[in-house]
Amino acid sequence: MWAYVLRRLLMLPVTLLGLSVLVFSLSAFLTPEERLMAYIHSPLQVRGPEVVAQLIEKYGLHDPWPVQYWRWLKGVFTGNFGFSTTAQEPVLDAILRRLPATGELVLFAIFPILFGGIALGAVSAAFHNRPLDHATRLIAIGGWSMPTFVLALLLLMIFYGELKCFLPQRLSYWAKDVVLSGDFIRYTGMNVVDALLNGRLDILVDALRHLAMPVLTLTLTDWAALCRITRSSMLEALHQDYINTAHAKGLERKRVVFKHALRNALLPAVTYGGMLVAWLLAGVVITETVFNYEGVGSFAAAAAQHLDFAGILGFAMFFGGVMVIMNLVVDLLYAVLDPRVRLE
Amino acid sequence: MRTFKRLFIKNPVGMASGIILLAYVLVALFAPLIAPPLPGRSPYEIPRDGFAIAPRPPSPEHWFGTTEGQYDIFYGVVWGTRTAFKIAGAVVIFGFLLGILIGGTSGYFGGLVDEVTMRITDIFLSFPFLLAAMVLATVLGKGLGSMIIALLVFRWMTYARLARSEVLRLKEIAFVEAARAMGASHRRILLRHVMPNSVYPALIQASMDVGRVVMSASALSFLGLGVEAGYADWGQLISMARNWILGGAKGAFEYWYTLFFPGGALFLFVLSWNILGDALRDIFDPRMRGVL
Repeated sequence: MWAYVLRRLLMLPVTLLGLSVLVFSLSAFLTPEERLMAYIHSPLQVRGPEVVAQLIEKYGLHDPWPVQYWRWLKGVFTGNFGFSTTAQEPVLDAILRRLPATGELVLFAIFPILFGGIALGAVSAAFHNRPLDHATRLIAIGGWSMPTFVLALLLLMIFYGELKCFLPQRLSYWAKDVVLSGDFIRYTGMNVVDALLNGRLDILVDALRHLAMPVLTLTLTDWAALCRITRSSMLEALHQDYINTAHAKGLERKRVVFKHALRNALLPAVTYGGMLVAWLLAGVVITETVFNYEGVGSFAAAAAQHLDFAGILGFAMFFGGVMVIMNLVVDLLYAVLDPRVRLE
Repeated sequence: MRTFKRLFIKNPVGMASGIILLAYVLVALFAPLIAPPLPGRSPYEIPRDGFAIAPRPPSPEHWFGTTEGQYDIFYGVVWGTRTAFKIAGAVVIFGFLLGILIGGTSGYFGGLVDEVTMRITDIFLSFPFLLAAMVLATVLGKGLGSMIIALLVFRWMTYARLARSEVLRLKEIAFVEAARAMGASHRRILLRHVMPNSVYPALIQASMDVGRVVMSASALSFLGLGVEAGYADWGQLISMARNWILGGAKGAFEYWYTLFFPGGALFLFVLSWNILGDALRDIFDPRMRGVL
């Protein structure tokens, strides 16, 4: 098994390398002048064509793209992912600084998605073709069909515009002042955790009020797929012989459904866990943008809109790395849970 | 025919979604009659009633009201239906063809070809779809064509994988061996015997993808990376609602119509396709046979 893990981990740099070539080659669609745009932060910088030519020379934008790619790659080996012009700081710093915010968001969203999705899927299968099942399925497919940005705007309208109970961004201005002051120690960068560790309940409440809408958006749009998968694998499990045996033995129904069937039905749900992280990370791009939540996702969106290739490449590497590792974890978990699966 | 019966007649939700989709098709087909375009203008250009900024509520002239910049919402929703079908059709059909061609070839030849193709597929898969489309759309510039290409480039992988595993299963089956024994060329076996029999899983996947493609396209427009300003497109209308979402003097819901109509059109469209795809999958998935 360890040989398998090692082989998969060795594939990681290969995948990331391919991914970076793919993203980098997209920049070949642009003229050097257009690529220069990513380096300009004020129109005052480009006075006249000579200056433009000078700047293009300075950043080496006329070189063939393999040369430019090689320059970027050499930087990566020394931990330099380039300078992000949208964030106005090195890409690695930009991502690391925003990571706790996105991590907090994903952590809060993942538990309701996992438990809600699995529980509702199991209940739906146990009450197969009865009103409860139909209701669950309808809600699930409704959530699955809801565009993230429409839901996000709807929540903004109701909870921020009308009720004023939940807020966009990460913190209110007064709370930001407290958090950035010297007295407040930033242990993790996650506002909720830090507020607890600092014993500031007012900051905690404020952070939660800002987290509520993005977490709700991610949860409502992403739990449905898990619910569906659990339901169908649960239905399959419920029609196996061993379930009939359990019934015949006289076990009570609740025990059969939730102990015997659910345990076996969970396997496909585990496989789905890797996909879920991918979807969450893609979901944060839009969710964070709509709510002005300063995390990795809104950074990626801004970088893509401004053709900040250093930023896009950095996010792609980050996302690709997370994906490959998640898939590996899922495969290992699968082998642990199902003794029939052998990793070679 | 049996499929049709199980899909629509025995399944009331499936029937409802079928009727809704039919309604969308009719709206798209008869768009010129429902919302006649201004003479001499491109029909996809939403007409404007003045240039005032603030949206105006539904009225006899503008059934769904006007959104930011006085674009007529009703007109945009009606012609946006055509845009949605165009995007979905182009992306799903070409993505599907590209996918089964790549996946089918990869699975049929196996060995090194297969290994390399599948690694490339993995690389495409490990790039977040929406972000990839965003980058491509930014690079290619605004417009329907570049949006379709942007969505297409990262949309073939699932079909490729499905077609590949089907081909791997099929190529060991007797009729392929028979064709080979009769001296048929690789190309003939692949195109005439293997591929036509390996498309069904990918086809079901394609029907399930239509909704998601339209959703991603709208997301691109919403982020300002999609169609040109004023082009009839649901995502663009929704992005125009963004500045008015908190309402005004008359409360938060003052401009509800700017989000409700385009958002509702998009949601209902995606929902109907998803229900249809779901029903199809249940019918064709052999594991579910006898259970449902």
